[in-house]
Amino acid sequence: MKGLEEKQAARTAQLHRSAALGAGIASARLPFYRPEIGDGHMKHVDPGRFTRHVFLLEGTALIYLLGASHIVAILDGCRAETSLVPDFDQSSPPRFRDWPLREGVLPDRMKMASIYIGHVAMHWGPHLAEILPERRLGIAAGFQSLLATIETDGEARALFVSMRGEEYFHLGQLGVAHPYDFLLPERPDLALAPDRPLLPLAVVQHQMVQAMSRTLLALTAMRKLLPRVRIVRIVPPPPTASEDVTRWTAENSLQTHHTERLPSALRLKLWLLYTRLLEEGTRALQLEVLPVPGAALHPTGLLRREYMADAIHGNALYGGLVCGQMANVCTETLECAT
Amino acid sequence: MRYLMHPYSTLPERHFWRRFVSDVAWRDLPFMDAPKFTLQPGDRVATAGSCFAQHITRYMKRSGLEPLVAELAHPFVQAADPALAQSYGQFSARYGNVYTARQMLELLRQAAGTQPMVQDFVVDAGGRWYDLLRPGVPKDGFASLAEAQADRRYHLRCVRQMFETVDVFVFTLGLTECWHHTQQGHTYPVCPGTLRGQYDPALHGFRNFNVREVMADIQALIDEAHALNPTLRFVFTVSPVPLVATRSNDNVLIASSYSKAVLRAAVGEVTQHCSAAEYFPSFEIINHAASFGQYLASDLREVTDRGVGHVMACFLAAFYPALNSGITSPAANSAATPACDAHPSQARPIELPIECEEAFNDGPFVA
Repeated sequence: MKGLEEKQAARTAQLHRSAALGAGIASARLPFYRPEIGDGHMKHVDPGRFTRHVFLLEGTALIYLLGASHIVAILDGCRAETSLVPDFDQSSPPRFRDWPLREGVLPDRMKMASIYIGHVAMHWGPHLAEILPERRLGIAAGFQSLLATIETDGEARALFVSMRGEEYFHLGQLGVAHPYDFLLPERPDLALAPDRPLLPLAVVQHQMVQAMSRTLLALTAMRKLLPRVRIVRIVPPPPTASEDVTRWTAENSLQTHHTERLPSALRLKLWLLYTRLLEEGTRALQLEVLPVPGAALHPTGLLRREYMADAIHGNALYGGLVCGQMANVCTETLECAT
Repeated sequence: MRYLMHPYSTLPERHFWRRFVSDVAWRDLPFMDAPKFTLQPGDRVATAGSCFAQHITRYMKRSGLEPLVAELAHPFVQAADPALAQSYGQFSARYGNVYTARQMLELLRQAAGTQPMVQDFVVDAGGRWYDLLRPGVPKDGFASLAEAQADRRYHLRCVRQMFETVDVFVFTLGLTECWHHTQQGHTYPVCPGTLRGQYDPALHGFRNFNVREVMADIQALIDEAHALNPTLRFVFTVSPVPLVATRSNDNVLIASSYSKAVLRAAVGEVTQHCSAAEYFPSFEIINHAASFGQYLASDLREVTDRGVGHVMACFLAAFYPALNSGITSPAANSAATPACDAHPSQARPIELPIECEEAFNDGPFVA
């Protein structure tokens, strides 16, 4: 009886969470824009208010995975033995492809599409979405076409999105040439580096929002174009404690040669701030958030070394944990429907 | 014919009022004709002091000189809050106005580690925290006590670095009157309750330094700064701007005269015996009766931009003889029209920056 009550309570909480989506958090001061009709080389979408949808689907269906480098770990974490390595062929525009799953990992079939910025830029232009004059939202035509394949697919249970996710890392790297630190009220235990200038939280937050604006615009476009599809934003993994790995990643992914080591406390604060803003922004858009799997976290909040591919990305082991979370999301939906 | 010699008979013209002052236009007086030392454009110069000191930084920049800024605005601050970023460059570090020699000495001691960091922070009704030793820095305060404390720890590191690396420290003394914490002993730039915090008669005591105390503080400042940087040179000036208000028993005019006289005498006494310290006469250029008050704004307190320009032209000419400052010396006459009769456009007051905390002494009591 107790188990049933707990299960019922969980279902109720799930519905309440769905009902709470889109509440919007004004304090985040994120740059959201209402899409409006406009002209230009980008297609535009109709204006209108975002509406809340409760997703009740039955039976095995199809889930979609859309993202860039962070999807590699997820694909590795759920791949069937017959799966090939992820096909990131950039000669043709991004499109969804079937991804054979290892049995028992996910309850649904999965299609994936890679939207590396270089790949996107080659075919669609430099941005998935951008603000046009008079604050209209422009969405790249190719991106609209890609999302339209989901919209027309009646089987779609959910779209998991893992695009970008390294903005906090870049912001941290800017702190190498121009050192800074800041206090995060919710984590007073994360120490300040005494030799670094202290910046007000609002200043760092302003920079973070700027860095995230493209991502949030793309999510806004997704929400607008897929009003009936459950969209779940996968939170990228936190930084690792290893400063050597961080430096290696910076030098190899950013083509920089920094010698100074960024304090792990600063890197973690940046990630925590990033994820808080991401969560606030995505919830305001009626998107759901898939948090980092707790098993991958060190008690400090940093990523355990065994789940790390580099300073930004998780590995296949990490991807497997995320797949488990994705499966729970799908299962909860099924339970709500039955 | 035999001429009788006396101690004045061989002195140059600069020693004689009639030839040096009476017959020369005010703008042409070489106020600083024999400085103890001169500076090169590449010398690192730091500034501190009362409101008037901010002009030194401003005019040095106009002349292509770069005053040392040991506490720079981070690029993120410049992007997020340009007004906040601008406040960083007013002095060489974010200490705000330093009105008394004692306040400067205590700041140096905290930076050098010979005195513990003063803990005197207050929170307002909106939850913002303020540092009573820098009540206007930043203008909107800090998000938390921890942030305020951490910022001041970093500030003190910057002040120490400033003293360790600077070639010349220009300090403008503003006041002898000040308020101090009666139990902890530290000196405030302004009385708590005027700009930030709450005035508590049991905790906040008034003090009006005499000439011996100011001399001792200036001498200690020189000695203790030399412990960090033995080659450091000093330029002391006295602000020509009178007190906004006095807490002494004298009226504000008499109190101002006392304050400026004490500062002027103390600086004169110390610099006379210190080869590494020089006095620059900004006080005289603006306030001497021979100027006919031509640089005073209509309130007879603030200094017009024209007056500041004259002071700074003299400063740059004296200490940077090889530099063409580009600052035109204002067209002042020995018989200029007094400010009270001046047309408003001719007596344009300088814009007092918000960091001029002393101005809040003439404001409502903050309960």
